[in-house]
Amino acid sequence: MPADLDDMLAQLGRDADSIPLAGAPHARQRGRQRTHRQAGVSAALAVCLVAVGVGVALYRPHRETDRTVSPTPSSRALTEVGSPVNTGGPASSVAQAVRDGKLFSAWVTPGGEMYLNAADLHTGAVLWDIAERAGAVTDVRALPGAVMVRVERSVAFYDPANGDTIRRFQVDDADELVPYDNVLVRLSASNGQVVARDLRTGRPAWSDTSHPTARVLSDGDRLIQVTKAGQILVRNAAAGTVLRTITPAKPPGSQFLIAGGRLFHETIPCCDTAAYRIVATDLTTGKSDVILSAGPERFIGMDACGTNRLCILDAGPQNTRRVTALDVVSRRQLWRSPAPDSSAGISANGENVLVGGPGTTAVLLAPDGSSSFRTPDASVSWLGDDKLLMTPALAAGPVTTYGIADRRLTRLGDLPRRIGPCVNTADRLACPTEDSLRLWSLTG
Amino acid sequence: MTATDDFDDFYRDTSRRLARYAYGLTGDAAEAQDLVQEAYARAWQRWRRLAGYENPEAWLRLVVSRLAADRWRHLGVRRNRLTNAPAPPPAPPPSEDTVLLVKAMQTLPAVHRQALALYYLLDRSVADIAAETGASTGTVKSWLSRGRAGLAAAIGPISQKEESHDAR
Repeated sequence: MPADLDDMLAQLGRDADSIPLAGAPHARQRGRQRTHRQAGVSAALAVCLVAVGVGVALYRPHRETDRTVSPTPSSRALTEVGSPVNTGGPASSVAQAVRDGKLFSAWVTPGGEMYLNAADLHTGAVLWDIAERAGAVTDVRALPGAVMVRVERSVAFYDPANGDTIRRFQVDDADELVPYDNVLVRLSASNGQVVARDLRTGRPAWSDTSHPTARVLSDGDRLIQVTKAGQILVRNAAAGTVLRTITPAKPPGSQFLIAGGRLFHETIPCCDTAAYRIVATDLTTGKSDVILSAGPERFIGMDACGTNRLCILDAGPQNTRRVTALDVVSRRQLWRSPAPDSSAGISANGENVLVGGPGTTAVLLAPDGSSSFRTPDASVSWLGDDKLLMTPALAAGPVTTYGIADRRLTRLGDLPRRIGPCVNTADRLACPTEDSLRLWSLTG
Repeated sequence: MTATDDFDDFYRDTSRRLARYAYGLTGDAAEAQDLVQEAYARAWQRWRRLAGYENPEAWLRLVVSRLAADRWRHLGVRRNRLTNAPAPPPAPPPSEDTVLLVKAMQTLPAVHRQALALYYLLDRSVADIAAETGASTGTVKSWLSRGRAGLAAAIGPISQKEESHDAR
């Protein structure tokens, strides 16, 4: 017979107390990985990866408009470019970025050594590599004159031509860094101060210690500074000059988007259970308006989906996901479409919108909001303006492209199991696999 | 004190309670491990803002509740952990009473489970639970009462079934 119910509940609590937890450093690392996944793999590629789970099957929803040519069944491997770069076993962390025909890869071996190399995207030839002792790699960015590598509590800049170290300094891993061509803007998480330094020498360029700051965002050569008091400062990033100070229509929440000279943000008065609003602020004129008041829906994400258009993903009381397209000038709703359950991300390319999330179907919404293509359980990214690239999320499987205009599916070949996010250009795909970094051609 | 130190202190002070809550909702140690880490990962993403909340621990419980209710997302979270980070040590096996209780809790509506977890595992008062869930104290009392009754009703048959299995 079971013991008294109160005793059983007490025992349940004791059993819960014996569950091992991975610890705060692991949670922070996982948080950073979430941030980086959400931020996309590489802005330089102008693509946004939407990871949507495991699997490879593809199908289209509208058979009556069937113009798709089925992919040719094939089990051939993708065409490899260059030789695999051995990582000494499964890398504990990997980050990659592309710029000017080069692929920059940073990874940490199981033994804790960090490697950074540069490879020619066309031939796959390794141009240079360096090794250092370091913590987990959290970010690699390819800048015009430097490669920035962020590890747990430090940041280093390397010369993209030869890998020579330009500069290295310590940061709190919650600090925000916004690199420009010549300066690096750093927001200190501990005191909210913003300091800009020469990217190569570290010499102070300007600082702001009088406006405790919550977020810093890049908009071309401007820095958008969101203060803890809820103001928006628009600065020339190089000189630090304040171009405009704006009080937005409603205090900002935590998610921001800059598009078409406007800053969009959601507002959450206290917590995730409250209704949200979307505020659009013209960064040149300072005009700020609430363009959407929605509640009790839960805001999930947004992206610019065309000129003066904003597409918003939210969830209703039953967790039903939907996408709403708005004309941000007239505040008129253009369309509203259902999104797959558990959708966690939205990415637009022109007026096409991709929405999906871990373990669920990804759906491509046409400029009129109709569902034009869906793919369950794959990772989907934009491949140029008119194609999608589907890669198996975690298992080995086929790599396929989908032509948005001609609705053509093309199977390019098989990809081995990968252990981290891939990056791609129009003609190259780079992924970390179990024991190596590999580069493939997307054009055969 | 840096934000990292601040967060680490918060984790140290609250993670055990959150694990109790997650375990109460899911009845699965591995899932509870995942949910707790995922909730803190999300907390770290917005730590500067969250640290200013009056009750950031309640925010964490809200995240855990949502993740626990969202099976698909939960599975995604788990996959990410499996591929990107070493698995935490396995939890020791639960006691027989806990196994029985967990099975019974799975038969309850989510709000009853949530109320029972807050009341019995986290020692929250009825008033606290009402404030956190936005329900009246009367409603919370009803959830607790019906939750207990539901557990008692479910444990009987389960217990008898277990015993008949044992007899064989």
